[in-house]
Amino acid sequence: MNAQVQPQNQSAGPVLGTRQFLSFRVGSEEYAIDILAVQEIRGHTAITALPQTPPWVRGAMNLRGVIVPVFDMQQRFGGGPVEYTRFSVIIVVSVGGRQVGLLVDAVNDVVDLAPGAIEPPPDVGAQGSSSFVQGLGRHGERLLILLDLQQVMA
Amino acid sequence: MTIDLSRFNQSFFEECKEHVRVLEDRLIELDSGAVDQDLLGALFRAAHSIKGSSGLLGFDVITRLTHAMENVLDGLRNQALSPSPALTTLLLEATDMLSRLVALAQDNQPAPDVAPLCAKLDAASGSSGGHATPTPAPAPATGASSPGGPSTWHVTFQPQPEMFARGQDPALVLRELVDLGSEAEVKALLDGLPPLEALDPERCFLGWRVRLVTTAPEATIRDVFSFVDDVATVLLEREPDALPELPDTAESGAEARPAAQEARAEKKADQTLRVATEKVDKLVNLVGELVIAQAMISRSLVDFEPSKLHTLVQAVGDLERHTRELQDQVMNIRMVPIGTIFGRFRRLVRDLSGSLGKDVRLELVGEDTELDKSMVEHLADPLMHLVRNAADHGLETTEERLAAGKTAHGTITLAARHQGGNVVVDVSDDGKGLDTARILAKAIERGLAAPGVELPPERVHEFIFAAGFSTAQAVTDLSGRGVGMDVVKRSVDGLNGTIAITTTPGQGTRFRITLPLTLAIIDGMSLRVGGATFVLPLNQVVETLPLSTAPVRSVFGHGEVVLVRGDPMPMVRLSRVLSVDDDPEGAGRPLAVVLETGDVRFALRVDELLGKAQFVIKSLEPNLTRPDGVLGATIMGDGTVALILDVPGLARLGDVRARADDGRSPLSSRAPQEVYA
Repeated sequence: MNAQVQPQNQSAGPVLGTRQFLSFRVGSEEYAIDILAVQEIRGHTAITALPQTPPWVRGAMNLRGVIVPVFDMQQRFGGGPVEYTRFSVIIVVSVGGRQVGLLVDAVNDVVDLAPGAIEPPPDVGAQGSSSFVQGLGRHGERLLILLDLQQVMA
Repeated sequence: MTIDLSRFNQSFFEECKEHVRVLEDRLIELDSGAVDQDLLGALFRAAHSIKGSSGLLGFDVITRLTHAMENVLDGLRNQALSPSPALTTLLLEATDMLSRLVALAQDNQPAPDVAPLCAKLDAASGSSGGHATPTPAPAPATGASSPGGPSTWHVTFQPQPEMFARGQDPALVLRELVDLGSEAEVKALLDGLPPLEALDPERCFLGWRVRLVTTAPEATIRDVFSFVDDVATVLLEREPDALPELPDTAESGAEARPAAQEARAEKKADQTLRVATEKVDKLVNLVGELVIAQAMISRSLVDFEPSKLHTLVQAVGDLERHTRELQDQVMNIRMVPIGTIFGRFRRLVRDLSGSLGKDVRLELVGEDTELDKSMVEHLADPLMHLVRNAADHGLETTEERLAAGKTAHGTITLAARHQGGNVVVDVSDDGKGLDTARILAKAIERGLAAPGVELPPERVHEFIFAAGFSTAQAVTDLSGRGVGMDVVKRSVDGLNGTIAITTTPGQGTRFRITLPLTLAIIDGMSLRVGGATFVLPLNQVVETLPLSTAPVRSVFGHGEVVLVRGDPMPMVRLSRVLSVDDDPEGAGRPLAVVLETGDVRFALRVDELLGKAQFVIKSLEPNLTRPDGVLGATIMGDGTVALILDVPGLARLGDVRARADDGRSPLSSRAPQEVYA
């Protein structure tokens, strides 16, 4: 059967347009990603170095039989390597059929952001890591850097 | 509705393909003149089986065609007709059409017109078309307008706003409607949709327009709406029948193709595998023994005391043996003889002989050689290219052959065999051989090689694997467009295989494809370099020797060599090719592992050998692109990831080449890197 039913109106969430983000810390900055892309959060896991990969690819880990690369987020944004300790956290995200582990310093919490709380990325010139920034989220006193995972995983 | 037979379709298609293969393989034998009743009986049965099942399942066009074929074959069997090349060609043409019809039916595509072909077959068999056996609904004129054929409907379904209040769900109606058709496209009509603030979720504002391809009559379609016709407006329009069917060869055929291919790609997901009952029986036995061994272990653990240790050790040993056997047998299920694809080459060569005007014969050797099913399938296309190239470019014309004092007919040999852990497939011809000078000239012209630089012939021959490379003076419809050899190389690379060329001017050319047996599990040797663990495929390990007994020399500009029993051999360090830190010089007891790939031997410096075992190959893709020099990854006993090294890749990264003086071609399918740079 080759049926294609095209839904025309999508049901909105409980509060119109509010999205949930997982916030985490890398260095002194707080970042956030769309929670729908997050598959799971892992504690310290053995990482095997991979040759001939960019410096931010820390290596590969075994996620229940699937080989998943681990990206060092600090190096991904052009900084030095994250110190990998027993307390390090790997956020496993899945985007476009690809799974990647993001090595971060700490996971904070899940925040709800209404569309009004999200501002476009600041115009600091199309240089360096600013292309990773999808927008800035305001949550009370906190300012979250919302990441474009497509760009991070590219 | 009657019993839904469509769930049998998949096995019908599988069965058809098998019968079509029989028809193709064995029709060729008609030509050889050795016609016996066995052969004719097999052909007749194949056509007859397809006719029977297709009639049952309502594939009328297929029934019609196989019926006509069956009449011809029956005539041959009763000796009312005598075999002739023309008749064989006609039957092969019908077989082609049959395989096309099956493919189209599988993709839910409309069938083309088979009437002219059936007419030809009927003329050949001397029957006036379908009088002998009662066929279900023999199509009067064309397959297209046959009574049971699908037609296209446009259904407009506009519910009234109060439909929900009446307890009706339009989704159910749409689903029922869509289930009627082989193909359906549903579009929502948004004209009635009010702005969001005015939207009442308890009222229905949407309408739908459905394009439906179905064999169901109008009354059945109307029945779908019988419960809602008082709360909705329903409009039914029928598209003129002939439209979609008629231009099947020219434009619509070309348009339909991508869609059909997509559909086929989707279908890959639920591919089936036919397995010999014997193999399944073996599996069942093994599982039985495994259960017994496991029970023995459990029992000896109850009230365990040291005196029972030997029983436990024995039971664990049994378990291990059975597990290994089970693994072998399970892998064996995926193994099919390569002969399943060799058959189609007989047909190809027959067609090529005709269209090229050359007398080409095909010899098949080692058709029983088994390899992984998926590899067999992926091998078909590259082999097809190679056979085609051999017939078109490799072999000379009959006059040229006679002038050169050769037999009038050219021979192409397809040979397969097991060699160690590999399968080797040779495609060779006894033609004129590769023209080294012309390939070099062409390579220089295309900027692949620098003029005036002496290259060994085997390096020159590898240029034919470059994309778009062709030395053919005229483009024929068969080959010569310069597509092909690069595709062949890429396919073989994709199977972790290698391809090598051997050619002798005036005597012929041989392409040798070497493939691993399976893509899933390898026998490997684990080793340590610095702090990292790696695995090497065992079938490429020749020997290991401590570096304390084999002196290492630096060769200026050429890296390092290790003297193996006095002979220098290039040595590769992972620290250099993969940037893996090894142990500092002088620490521990480093070893050299001698590796072989194709015709290249080199040594790899490692810090420690850890052991031999079987490793399950895990792909790095799609999460990661595969780094050069790495075949894949595996998961070690402690759960960590280890990389499996790719020996040809290491040779390439380490810039190791075959010694030029041994006259053989260099290592692998990978052409020199500068070609692709």
